[in-house]
Amino acid sequence: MGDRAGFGRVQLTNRTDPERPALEQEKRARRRYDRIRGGVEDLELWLHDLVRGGLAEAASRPWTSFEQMAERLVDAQAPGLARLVRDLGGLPHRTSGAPRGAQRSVGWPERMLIELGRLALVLNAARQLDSLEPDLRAEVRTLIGIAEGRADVLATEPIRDAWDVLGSRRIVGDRLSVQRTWLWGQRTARWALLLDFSVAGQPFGQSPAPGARIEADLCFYSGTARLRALIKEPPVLLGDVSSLPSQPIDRVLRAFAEALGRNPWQERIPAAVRDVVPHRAGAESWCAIGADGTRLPLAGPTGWHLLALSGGHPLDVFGAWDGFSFWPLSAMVEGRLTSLRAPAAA
Amino acid sequence: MSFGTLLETALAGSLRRDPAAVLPAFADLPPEDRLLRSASYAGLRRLAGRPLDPVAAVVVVEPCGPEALKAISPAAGARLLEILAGQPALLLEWLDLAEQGKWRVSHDCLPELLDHAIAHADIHDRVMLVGGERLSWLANLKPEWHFAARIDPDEQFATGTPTERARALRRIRRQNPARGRQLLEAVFYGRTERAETRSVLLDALREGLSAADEPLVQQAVQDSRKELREKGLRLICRIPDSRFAQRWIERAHRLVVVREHVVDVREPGELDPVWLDDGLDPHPPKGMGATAWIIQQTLAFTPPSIWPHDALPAIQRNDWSQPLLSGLAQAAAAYAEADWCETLLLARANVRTNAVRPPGSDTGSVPAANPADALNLNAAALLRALAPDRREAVVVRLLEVGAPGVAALIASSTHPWSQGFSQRIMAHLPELIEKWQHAAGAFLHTAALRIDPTVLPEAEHVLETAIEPSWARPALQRLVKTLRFRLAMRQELQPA
Repeated sequence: MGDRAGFGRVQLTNRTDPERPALEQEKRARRRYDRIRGGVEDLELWLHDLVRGGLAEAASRPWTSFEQMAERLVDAQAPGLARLVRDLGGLPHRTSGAPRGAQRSVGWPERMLIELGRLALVLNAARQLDSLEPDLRAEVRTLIGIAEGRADVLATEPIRDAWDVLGSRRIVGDRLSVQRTWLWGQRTARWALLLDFSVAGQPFGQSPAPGARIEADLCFYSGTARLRALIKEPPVLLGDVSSLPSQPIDRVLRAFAEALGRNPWQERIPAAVRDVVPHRAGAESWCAIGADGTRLPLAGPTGWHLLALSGGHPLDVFGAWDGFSFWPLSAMVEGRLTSLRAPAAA
Repeated sequence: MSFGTLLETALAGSLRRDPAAVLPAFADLPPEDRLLRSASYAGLRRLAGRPLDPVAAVVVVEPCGPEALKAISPAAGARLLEILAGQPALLLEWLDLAEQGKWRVSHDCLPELLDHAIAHADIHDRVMLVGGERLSWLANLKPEWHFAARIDPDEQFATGTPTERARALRRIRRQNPARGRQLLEAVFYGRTERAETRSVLLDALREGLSAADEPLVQQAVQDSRKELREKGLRLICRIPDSRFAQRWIERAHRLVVVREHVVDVREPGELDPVWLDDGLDPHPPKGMGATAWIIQQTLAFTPPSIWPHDALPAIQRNDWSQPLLSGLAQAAAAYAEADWCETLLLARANVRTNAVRPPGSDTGSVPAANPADALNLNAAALLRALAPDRREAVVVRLLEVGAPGVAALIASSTHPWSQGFSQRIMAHLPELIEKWQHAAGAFLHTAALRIDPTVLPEAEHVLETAIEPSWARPALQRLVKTLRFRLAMRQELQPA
């Protein structure tokens, strides 16, 4: 089953905690390593069972089949893998924008096979962490759920820039809700992602609101894409976002392929598409048509808002691309960045 | 092996189909691993180079034309969204201010405004006035929003729902009253439409009502349906110098003679069936005599301007005072006869405050009741029939004599209050709160929406000084908060 020499034993513990004796740190790291190894082995057996029966059978399994495996991984202190298993179970039921449990989404077998392949690749990588180069190793550790310490991230060399806050999205879960806020650095021309969490309905952290341009020091988590970041000091408000780093649709597709080349588990990339006209395609399905006629499928509940803003004229739209559909988050309208909203629940 | 073949194998499962290896290195692995490793390799290749999903059935539309009006500021837009999300009572005022300021709602807010308006037919016309070109363009694309699409009113009248048809008819009446009347005549004389439809459409006649409409309205007055008859009667009283009014003036003079402060009521005798065609209901309500009922209705259908104002004490003393006063009050409201509305409202307060019981009010076939009660029922209607400035003047006078029930009357004054009136109310507020106790809570709630927001400093002063009783504080705080909100709203919508 390959080399299980380590999940980066030394890094498993909190380096900024000098109080604790080194021996106890070593013991705790060992215990967690053993648990994760057990979880990875169980997940592998479960995956084998799944591919023996086939995807069609897996899609008709009850939700609990995925949930039990996910809980086992949480017990094994691999919450990242647990999330991947839950997402896998949701694929046959998730349509863009529609609530879970709605009708079966089109094209789910393709997505499921791709995600299955990526999950198998994590397990493979987890077993040979030490042989991976440091950035990729960091990605795999994050995927397993071994979080990089906040203090460790803040101790790295910050990147100072005028950051444009381009959009944010909340994903509300039963226990945990996440807010993703995307930033674009004016001088460094790079992306940053701020994550805020809310447990059991508690308020979210204080990420800056979309539309603002802020001067801030950002410390990045390690990894190949180096997207996720923390704001070091309270940022200074410089003004408003005045433009989007927009590109034609085909450039966005290429950027995603390149990101996958660096990190095969990249789930989505932030992107701004230039001069697109939103159109309705069928009942509540939407697309954005580029200047060259390319039809970019849109996801999410903001179609009518986007249509109201565009009025049938081209505009620049910011959002996230996951290889299948583009989830719009904001648009540039008459020199102002406007956050896209979903209609109020009827 | 292509991704497609691998996918077929994966769907069926490795027990049913032996997976081929996409790379020679996977060939010797067990079937499950062979499938998973092949999925890792081929899946990522697929994801990186995946063609876009084909998008079929794209709805192609002409782009929206340019706007003529200036868009509201982002701050005004944010306030509109706040109103739509949690303060719908302020929407009407917001829309009026936007229209007066010649603003249009920013494109950003249109979906929320349209969604809100779906269930509120009363604001459809206003929404269209401030929605600009984009509103109609957008509304045309979603069936639920079609009420705001720019549809030819004739077409809408021919094919719409009853509510849409009434709205189309109002629009046609605004442009060309005669054409609107002809369309409605076809509905009424054709007798093919359901009574409910006829009733809804009849309301549209209010727009541009004139003497030319009388024959058609008379038709409604003679309808077999009570609802239509009542609507017809309300309309016909608003037609100036109608033949209907002339006929009732003649009948009233035969029944009631006013001579030198003496009111003489004559028995109506045999009922002329022609009276029934003019709205008279021959069946008195329970507990009322036939004669009293005829007297009351006759006065209700007769323009009250024929009666001298100084006859009021004599009417109150008359044996038939109850039906006379009820009918007179109904007529004053129906004909919007300002002088009589005012006289009756003030008389009502005097009757109450002086506790004068008109003699003989409980004799004959008249039911034993205080005439003041009969007037009391109509007080809100009388007040509504007055123009805003006179309405406010009457309320101030009632307030100053300390008439009972003024709280309800002020609350029924739904027009935007003038600055002077608002200041008077604010000056009286501490004593009103003390006097009305909990009724003042409901009063403050409605007043907050109508008081001129420029009296905010006065309201803040009341809040600072009036701490008794303690329950009034939260209500006053809400009032001040609403006034601040409305003042900001006004500043944001200053004429462009």
